[in-house]
Amino acid sequence: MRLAFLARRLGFYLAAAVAAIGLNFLLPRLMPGDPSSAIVEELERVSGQQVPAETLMSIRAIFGNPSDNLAQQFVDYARQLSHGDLGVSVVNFPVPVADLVLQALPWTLLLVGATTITAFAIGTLLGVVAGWKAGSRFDAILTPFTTFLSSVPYFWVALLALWVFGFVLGWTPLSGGYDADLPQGFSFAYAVSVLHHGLLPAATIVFSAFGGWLLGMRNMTVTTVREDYVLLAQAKGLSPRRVMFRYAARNAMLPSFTGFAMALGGVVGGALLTEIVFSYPGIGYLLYEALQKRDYPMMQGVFLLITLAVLLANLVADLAYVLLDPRIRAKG
Amino acid sequence: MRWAIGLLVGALLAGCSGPAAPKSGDGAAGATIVHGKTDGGTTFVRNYNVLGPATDKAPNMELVYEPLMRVDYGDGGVVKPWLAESWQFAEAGKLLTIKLRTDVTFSDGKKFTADDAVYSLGLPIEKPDFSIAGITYKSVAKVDASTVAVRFGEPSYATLNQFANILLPMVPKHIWSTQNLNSWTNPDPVGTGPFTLGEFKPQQITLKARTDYWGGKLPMSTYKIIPTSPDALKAQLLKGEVDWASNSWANGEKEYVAKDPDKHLYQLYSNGGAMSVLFNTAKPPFDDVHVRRALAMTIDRTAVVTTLQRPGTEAGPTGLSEQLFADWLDPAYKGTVQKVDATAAKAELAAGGWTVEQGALVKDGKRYQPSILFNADWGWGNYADILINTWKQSLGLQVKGAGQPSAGYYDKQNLGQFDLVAASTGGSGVYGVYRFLSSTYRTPIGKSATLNQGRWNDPATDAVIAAMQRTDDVEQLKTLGRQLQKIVVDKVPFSPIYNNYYFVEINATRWTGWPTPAEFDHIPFVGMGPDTILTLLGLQRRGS
Repeated sequence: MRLAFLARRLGFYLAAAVAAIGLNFLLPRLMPGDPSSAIVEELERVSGQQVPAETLMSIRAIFGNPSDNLAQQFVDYARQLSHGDLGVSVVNFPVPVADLVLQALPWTLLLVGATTITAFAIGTLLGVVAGWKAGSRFDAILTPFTTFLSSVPYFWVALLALWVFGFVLGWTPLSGGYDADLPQGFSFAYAVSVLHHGLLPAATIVFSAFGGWLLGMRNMTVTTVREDYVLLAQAKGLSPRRVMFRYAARNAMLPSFTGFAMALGGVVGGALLTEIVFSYPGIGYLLYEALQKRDYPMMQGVFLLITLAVLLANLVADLAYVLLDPRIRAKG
Repeated sequence: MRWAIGLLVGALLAGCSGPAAPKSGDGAAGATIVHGKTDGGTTFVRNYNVLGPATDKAPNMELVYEPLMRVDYGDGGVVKPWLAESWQFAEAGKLLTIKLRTDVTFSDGKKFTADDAVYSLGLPIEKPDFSIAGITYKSVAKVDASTVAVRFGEPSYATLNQFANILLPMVPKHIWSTQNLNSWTNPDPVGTGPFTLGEFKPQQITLKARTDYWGGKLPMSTYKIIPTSPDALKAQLLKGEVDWASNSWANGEKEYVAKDPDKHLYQLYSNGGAMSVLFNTAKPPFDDVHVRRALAMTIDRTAVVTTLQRPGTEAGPTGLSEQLFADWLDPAYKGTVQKVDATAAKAELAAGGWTVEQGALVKDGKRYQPSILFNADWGWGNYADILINTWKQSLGLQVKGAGQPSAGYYDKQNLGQFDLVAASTGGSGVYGVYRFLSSTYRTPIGKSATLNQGRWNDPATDAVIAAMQRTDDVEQLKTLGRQLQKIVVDKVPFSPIYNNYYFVEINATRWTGWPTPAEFDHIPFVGMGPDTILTLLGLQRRGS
């Protein structure tokens, strides 16, 4: 029973992965413009002069002509992927895409990973408390305030924070992921500088994200506390804290948990706006640049990574659900 | 996004009281100059494969690898010696003999010789995909240890500036010829330039000054490059964290210079080009000179530069800037900026048999409602609106605005899918500015062209351009240049709006001796190759 369920899920995810790779190939090619003209444009900007036609032809010779047969392009792409090769970045030729991704990935995993977990923890905890005593003063103040927070555009929060703390007060750096004057490595000073640089981006993400978790958790808790088994637990005389967390929260958390798993999958994609506002050297910025410069191989590399991470996270969530929620097994 | 950041920073700069003290504690490392690089993203990639087709190579490679010649922007864009000491054309401009300096060494101590020059110049021929500089010569050969001979298929006096291109630098044969250039990222570059790579970090590059540089001794020991954004840069310049940057600052006079006029320098150097309206001359109505003239006469150039906050930078009718081409400009066009002249423009339309009805151009029962293509990523919408409004007010013509992000903009422009397009025109020297008008670059609409996107096809233009390619006689070039100016003014293949500039921001707290736009023999613009080196050589530490 359980095995059949697993096999079905795995099959689904495999199909999704294949579809993702296909789309990943197709989408950038459906966008206007091609990498060759992007390079020409960039060269014109750098040199301040028009680029001769000979150059465009030689660039096309390297990066392929967008008017080539699409099927042939896909075959080439699939063959490359099967060797674990993400290709060579167009704008950074001949640097492999994998190198660039590996350089950016740790920063994003650290920043977005830590903040996603923190925001989830804070939001969920406060949500349980607010939902447990819906209508209390705590709930009456916190919940509307959080609703307001959730509606403030993130980039605005980030810009404001950068302005106040970075520029006016000068407490945090204006950009970057670490103090470049320090030697890179596992030294105390370096770790401190990484934290110092990450503080503001992290704080803005947590600030903007925890509200969503809080509201979801609060509303689920409000529903759950009225369930018979919670009343029964209370009637048995268990401590309120035990009832709140072990009985109400544990069940109320299920939807939040799905969201959390998906959010973890999204970590790889980075926080695009955060990384742009704070010039943070992560995947989000890499993607942003790849899109701007129509660096197909880089775009595809990053998209593929994001898609697979999300699929993987969902798969893990699916599996964990089987353990958490007996009803799934029964239905499966 | 961008506008939001700009707004905020603008607001905070306006409210900021006085400049912060420069970063102290530099101590012994004080002989450092910091360059804030705004156009390279948040991180650098260690890629010194300088001849490869990448657009995002490691920055400031021109401080490591040098070209044979340089373009003197202080002198009409004339080509001057650099690693090449002198040169001579023979065989009616088809053979170029280049004499190299003999006192140049690579940073690994090996001498720079004709073998290296032959290798470097030959690479684009041998590997066309590495011909990023767009070379026109056909072969290179060694004459002796310090002389090379370059052969062209056609008389090529006018294309000498390809040897001044920083994309065609001299590399050491003894290192490069042993590598697979399609996968080699050249992590430890060895060149003839004044710097070597000290430390490479994605967020900061430190270049170390050589002590044996042929061009002289540098006053600084290190050159630091940090990535930043245009908006963060403004704060960094005000705080004195950055010494030198190249970025436009619309309100720089007030927000930056006024805070400390002695040390806060914001300079504009004409780059010889202009922002212009190109007409698509391959299709009606812009195949008619009367229509082109009428529209050119009704562009409010002053309103555009006022909005740009760059007063006095209206382009003259030739598109050649007076700062750069003083000696080359026909006196008849000196100091002239076309004013909006609705009466004359209407007369032009009438002379061509055109009427304007319900916002459209009409002739022989056919209606044309043109649109103007512009790059929306450059924020050009405001300026397009000014043009559109003036055309409407003075001619009653309703032109549609067609903004496109860079991607679509370049495609449409190259394919000729536009009526009017706001585009940059320019190049080095008079020939460089106008050569795009040659019909040899013309392609049918729908087929991509990287030059002559307006599909200009005029035998008179072709004849003058061809004549310019066949001579290096300066007086003759000046005469030919004036003929081209007259063609541009009379036949209006394009109409210049405002001059384009190199923007230079300097915080001269630590370093003095910077050129000024009033007096310069090179432009202190980072990334200009030899000019950047000349600037560095001429600096002095303040107080020393």
